[in-house]
Parts: sequence; C-alpha cells; structure tokens
Amino acid sequence: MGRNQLYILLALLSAAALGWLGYSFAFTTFSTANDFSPCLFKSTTGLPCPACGSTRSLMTLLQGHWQEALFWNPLGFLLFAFLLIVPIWILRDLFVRSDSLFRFYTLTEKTLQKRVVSIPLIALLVANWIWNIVKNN
Amino acid sequence: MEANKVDMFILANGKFFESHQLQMIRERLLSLDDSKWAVIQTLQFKDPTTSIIVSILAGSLGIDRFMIGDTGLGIGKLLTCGGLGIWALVDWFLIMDATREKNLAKLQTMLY
Repeated sequence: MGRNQLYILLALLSAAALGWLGYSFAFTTFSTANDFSPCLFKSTTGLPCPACGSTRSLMTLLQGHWQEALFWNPLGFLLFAFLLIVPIWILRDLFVRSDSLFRFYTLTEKTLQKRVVSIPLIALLVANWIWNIVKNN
Repeated sequence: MEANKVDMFILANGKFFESHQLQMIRERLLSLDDSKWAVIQTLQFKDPTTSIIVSILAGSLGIDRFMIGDTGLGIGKLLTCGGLGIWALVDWFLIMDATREKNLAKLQTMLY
C-alpha cells in the first residue's frame, strides 16, 4: 500500500468514525437492548466482538467520565488518541508534502510483527474480549 | 538459471501469484544467478485459498489481514468490528489478490 492510499483510507476511517460518533450522541441511550448496533459480528452471533462498546466508551470519555469509559471498553482510549492525532497528522503531511505518517505506520507495523510485542498484545485483546462477553456489552 | 528449474518453480508455485505476473517472474528467474536457487526454493508463500477461508470465518476480527502481514489494516478491522461489517465484506473479494501481491513482494526481495 502506498502513501496516498493509506492517507485516503485513514481519512475515510476518521470521517466515518466522527460521523458515527455524532449520530450516536443524538440517539444512543446506553442500554444494550434499545440501541442499534452496527456490529455484524454481534448481530449474527449474539456475542459482542472485541471492539463492541468503544462507541459508548468514546462518548463517556468525551463527557469526562474516564472510569466509565474504561468500563465500556478500554480500546476507546486508543480510538480517542487515533481520532485526535491522525486527522491533524494527515493535514500536516499534506501541507508540508511529507510522508512522516506513512513512515510511522510502516515502522509500527514492523514493530508489531515481532513476537515479543505481538503475543502480549494478543493476550490483552483476548482478555478484553472475554471481559466484553462476560459484561455482555 | 536453467529453464527446467524455473519451470519447476512456476509449476509448484504458480497458484501463489497473479497469472499476469507469471511471465515476468519466469523471465526474472531465467536471468537470475544459479546460486540463488537454493534460497528461492525454500521461500514459503501464503496460500490465497487459506486467506479467503480465514477472511470468511474471522474477517470481521481482521485475522485475515494479520495473517498476510498487513498488521496495520488488521488492527483497523479489529477495532471497528470489521469496518462495521462493510470492510470485512469488501475484503472477501480483495484478500486473494492481496495475498498474491504479498507473495510477489516476498519473491521480489530475492529477485533484486
């Protein structure tokens, strides 16, 4: 994947995420029974996926309740950092004609592929998923 | 490299690459030094059929992307429930060619 493709993909992802966040602020009631879930995994299997709850996490985080955000899904913090940094980084790279984000992405990918990094992260994700299922997110 | 060795390689590994690239691979291999043969023979490629099966079963968790080495995209799929299902669906159609491209990239590190 080239630089431009990555930037288009990341920009689309950020835009979609912000749009979805805006929609959620208008309609989410924080009850699993009433809310519309866009997650295909959840609607087909009935079990929450590893990322289920991150919308609620982001919303509570933006309202300042970080403990509640941690409860809904700790991955929300990661997404918050992503949404805060990536759009600005893309704009910066476009203006100064740099590819620093692309190089950072490739470097991160290489790091994550190392066994010492990937195995603990996978364990954490699985633990988070089990927690997600137990609390029925 | 000798033509029969190259043909043997193409015969054994042709399914791992896109068909329109096979001619280019053949020509590159023919012009390659014989000493590289041992290394090229031991290269392990990812099977596109395996990746489509993984994509159908666990695509919404991004496992298919992790498997072929697109770690960044895998995380993207994992953290968005497979792009709300849409990305996972699109990847059913993209993942086989993506696998073949990854295989070519792997071979190319040996060719040049």
